[in-house]
Amino acid sequence: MNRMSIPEFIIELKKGYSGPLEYQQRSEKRVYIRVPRENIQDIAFVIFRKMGAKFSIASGVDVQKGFEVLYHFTFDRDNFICTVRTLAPRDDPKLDSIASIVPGALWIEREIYEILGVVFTGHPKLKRLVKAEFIGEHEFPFRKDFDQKKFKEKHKLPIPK
Amino acid sequence: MPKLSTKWIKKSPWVYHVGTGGCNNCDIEILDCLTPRFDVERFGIKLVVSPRHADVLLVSGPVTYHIKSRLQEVYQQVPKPCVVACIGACACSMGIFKDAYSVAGPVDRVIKEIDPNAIFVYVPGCPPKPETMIMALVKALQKI
Ligand code: SF4
Repeated sequence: MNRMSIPEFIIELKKGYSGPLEYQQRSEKRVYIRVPRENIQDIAFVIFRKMGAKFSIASGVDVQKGFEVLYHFTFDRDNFICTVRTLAPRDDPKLDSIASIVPGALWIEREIYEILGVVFTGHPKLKRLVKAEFIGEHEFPFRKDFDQKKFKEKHKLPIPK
Repeated sequence: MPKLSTKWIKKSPWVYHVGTGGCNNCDIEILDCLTPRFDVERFGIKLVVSPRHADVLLVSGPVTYHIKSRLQEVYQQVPKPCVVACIGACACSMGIFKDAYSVAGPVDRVIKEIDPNAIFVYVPGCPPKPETMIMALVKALQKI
C-alpha cells in the first residue's frame, strides 16, 4: 500500500476544504496549517472525519497576538503529523469547540480553558478540570501576564525568596 | 531484637505506587522495575494495589495542592512501620517544579505535617534508574 505524502495530503485537503489556508512543511513528517478561527470546525471535519486522522492532543500557547491553539492530528498509516494552528485574539479569546466532531477533544479543551482562558463556544460542559479548587475561575496561570507573586500573596501561599 | 513487623518487611517489602503530579516519567521508570528485565519480584518486592497491604510507598512527583490531602490520607492507611521512598528529583525537592503555582511542597514536608517520625529514603535523578531504586530500597530496609 502506498503512503500519502504531505503535498498529496494538501491537495486532498483542498478538495474537501475551501476556506483560506496557509501551510508550511517543516520536514517529511510534519506539516503546519494555519487557518482563521472561523474555519476550525470545517477543517477538523475534513481531517478527522473524512481523512480518518487520529487526534493526538491540542496545546495552547500565549503568543504576542493572542492565544494560539494547536491541534495535532496524526496520520499513523502515512507516517506524518499535521498540526492545525489557529489564533484567538487576546481581547476576545473565543474559539469554536471541535468537541462535537472530535469527542477526544472534550477534556483538553476544558484544560486549555481553565489554565489559559480560551473560551470554546459550543463545548457541552466547559468547566474546570485539573486546577486546584482554591484558584479562582478567572486566574489563568499559563498566561504571560500572570503574576506569580501577587497570586501567592492573594492566596497566602509561601513566597519564594 | 527487631520487632516482628520489621522482620517481615526486610524479607519481602510490598510496595504501593503513588503518583503525586510528576511528569509521568518516574512512574514509567517504576513500572520498568517490575518488568522481567529487572524483575524485582525475585527479591520479594511486590507491587500491591492497596495501601493497606503496603510496606513501602513509592511516591513520584512534587506534591500538588490537589493531591496533598490524598497523599496524607494514603500515608495514614499504610500499616506502620513503613518507608516512604521519594522517587525522582521532584519528590525529593520539587525539582523543576519548584515555586510553581500549584505545588505544595516536596513529599517529606507534606508527610511530616502529619507524622514527624516518618522514615524517608530519597532517590534523586530525573528519572532515577531502576537499579538505583532497587538499591535504595535495599539500603533503606537494612537501616530499619
Ligand atoms: S524527577 Fe524528572 S522524571 Fe521524575 S517526575 Fe520529576 S521531572 Fe519527571
